[in-house]
Amino acid sequence: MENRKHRRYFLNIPERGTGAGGRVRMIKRALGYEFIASVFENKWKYTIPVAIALHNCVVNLRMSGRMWQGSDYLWDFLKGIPTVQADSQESFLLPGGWMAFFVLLLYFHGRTSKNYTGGMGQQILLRSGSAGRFWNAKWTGCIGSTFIWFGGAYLAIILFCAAMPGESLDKSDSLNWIDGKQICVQLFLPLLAACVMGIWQLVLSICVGSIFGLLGVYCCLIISAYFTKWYLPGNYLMKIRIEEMLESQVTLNRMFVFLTVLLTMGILSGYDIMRRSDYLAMKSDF
Amino acid sequence: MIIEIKDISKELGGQAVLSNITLRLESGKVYGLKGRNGSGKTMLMRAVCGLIRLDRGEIAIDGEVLRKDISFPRSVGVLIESPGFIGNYSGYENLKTLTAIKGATSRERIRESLAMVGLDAQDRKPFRKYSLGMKQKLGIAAAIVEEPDLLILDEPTNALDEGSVQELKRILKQIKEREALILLSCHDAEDLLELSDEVIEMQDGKVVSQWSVER
Amino acid sequence: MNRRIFLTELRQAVRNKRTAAVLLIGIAISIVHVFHNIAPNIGIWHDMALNPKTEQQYPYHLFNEWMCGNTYNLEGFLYFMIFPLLAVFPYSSSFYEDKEKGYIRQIYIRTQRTVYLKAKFGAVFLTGGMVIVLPLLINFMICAALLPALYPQNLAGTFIGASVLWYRLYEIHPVWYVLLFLMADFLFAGLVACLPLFFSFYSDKKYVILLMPFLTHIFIYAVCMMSGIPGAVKYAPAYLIFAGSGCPSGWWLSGYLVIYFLLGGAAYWKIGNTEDIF
Repeated sequence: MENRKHRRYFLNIPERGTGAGGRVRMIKRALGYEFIASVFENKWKYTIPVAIALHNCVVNLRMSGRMWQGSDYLWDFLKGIPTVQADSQESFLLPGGWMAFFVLLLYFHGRTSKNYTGGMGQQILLRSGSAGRFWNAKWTGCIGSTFIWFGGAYLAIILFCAAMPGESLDKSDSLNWIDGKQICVQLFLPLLAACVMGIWQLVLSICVGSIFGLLGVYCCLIISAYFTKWYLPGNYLMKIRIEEMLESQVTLNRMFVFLTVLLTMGILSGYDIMRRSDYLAMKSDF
Repeated sequence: MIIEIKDISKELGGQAVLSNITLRLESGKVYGLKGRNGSGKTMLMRAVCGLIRLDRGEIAIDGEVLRKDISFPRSVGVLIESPGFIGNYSGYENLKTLTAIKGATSRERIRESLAMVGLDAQDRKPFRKYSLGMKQKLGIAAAIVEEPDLLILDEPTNALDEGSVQELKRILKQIKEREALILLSCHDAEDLLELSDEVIEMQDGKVVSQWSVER
Repeated sequence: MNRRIFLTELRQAVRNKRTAAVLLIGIAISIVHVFHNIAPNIGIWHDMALNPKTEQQYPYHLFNEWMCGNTYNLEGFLYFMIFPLLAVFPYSSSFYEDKEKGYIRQIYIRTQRTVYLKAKFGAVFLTGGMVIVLPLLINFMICAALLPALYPQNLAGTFIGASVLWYRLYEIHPVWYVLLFLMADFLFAGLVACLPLFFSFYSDKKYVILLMPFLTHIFIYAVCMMSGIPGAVKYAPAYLIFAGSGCPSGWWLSGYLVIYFLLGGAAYWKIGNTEDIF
């Protein structure tokens, strides 16, 4: 990351004192720098989810003729597709907006996943004190950028609804927002699932390379879209699928526990692999 | 061989890396390029190889203009920066692949070149497992294997031990004796003076002086 | 001299761990298709073929049920969504790597640039096409061993109608139809594999260079799906070269091929011939 502002932040602050105090500050700066690099490299990328969300809203506005409320716009975003019927002979197609939203998110995760094998990333790794701490900066950066990715899209939808005169964000609609189940389905589960996919992409990238990491997670995404199973994380990226699973007696608790366990396993696996790897000798995709 | 460098200039990113350079180089001599990092030594070598396009001026080799009449010098051996080879091939296989392009070098000559730089032709270790010094030696071997009339070496003594440096000096003397033109750069002033017949000093992309070494 | 450089490049491209890995992935997908779609139903299909319940019931056959025979199987869709990744992975980054490592200097001082550039293009094109088509061919052959090769019938689970290219061929000589599409897939995949050669002039990150064709592919798919125009997705590359979907327009297919050639072939050639080598 060649952003001058961040380089100044990292390099020019004098190390006050000697010994442990100065060293700790340096480690914190190194990790902060890596976190900032993961989240804010190519800031323009966050316009992509905004554009996709706005496109979705405009299309729905045209179709609904201003009859929709705010929760309808939110529900329709990342809705996904219903379960593919086994005997159906209809083409298997994934929604374009949904594809673009998640594939580009995975792409940007992959861009910084192996930056520690050379250049500035390697320098930060050496200054971070331990590979485990460096991994912590990486996965928190991954989650941070996922939050901003989703946040940008939802903010765009809310602003769109607020800008539409009429009934989009009236009080009766706000009752829908108080329902905890709706909040989980609309907001938390897709976000958590995206974080899970991002972390596992990081883990795969460390093991086999950024491109194979992307390929693996992308295949998981498409396979999840085809099969509706609670153990395929890609299903949680589609709101329709979450609703279908809830109807087929898969509880919200089970979904949360599953995703949380998967996330934790990913973080711990990545920690272990980073600590044990001969990371400086690793081939890079860069 | 006569190389005429006529008022050449090159700019990169708004900065002049070569500026109004005029030189005349003759075969049978060793020209040493001297200057700090970023003075334009390597860029001049790249220009003489035909690897870069000049913004102004031209380079003529025996009357033929580079990048007009010919793409690159007809008989040249080059070692510029880190030498690159095929990672899975051994040193011998790499040289065999390169010399097969022109098809004018015998296998005996390949083995001889490797031996001259201190590498074993029988060694099947792939290039990607070579140490830095071995990579440099293979780069030198690749530059001399086809007995070129023009030899361009950019800091050939990098990463070499004392014995290998002495060996390199001996090789360069042999090559000079067969009337080749050698253009080299070296950070060690002593080695440069020992090897060169003429020294060309460069600064900020310009030639500031050119003088003969007194023996 | 030309032939030697080309053979060296081709050898590097084919005897390559990445080529083997991509072939394995492709073959795995094609075999999974057989186990997932054909093997569980083969008994039932054979029974239906021998004892049809109605006169209108047409047996399941090779040209409808192989991986690219229809657009409702997962493996076919997956394969054509990831094919830009598979095509570029074996050898497309070699030009960038040769420049980065300095190997290109060794070649350029020994021969014409055009010779090397042509050899590189040829090796990348052939490898890219091969890694995509070979698994499809293997799937077709396995399915041919398990399913009857009947003449396709309209209204019997096929998307190939009068509005697509070569539909008459599909009805009369379906094997030729399949082979033509395999050839189109080869050309398409080969040219997609050559796109990173062009992108390597504009980026110094291998990840970006290799993924540009994939991102372009996804972008076009997303735009087609989001446009709201019915049937627009058939013009996206993922479906244009999918035999089971049928190609709606030869002009579109040619257009893609020409654009990809202009970038990965002509522009790469022009810039490669004149660029500075550092």
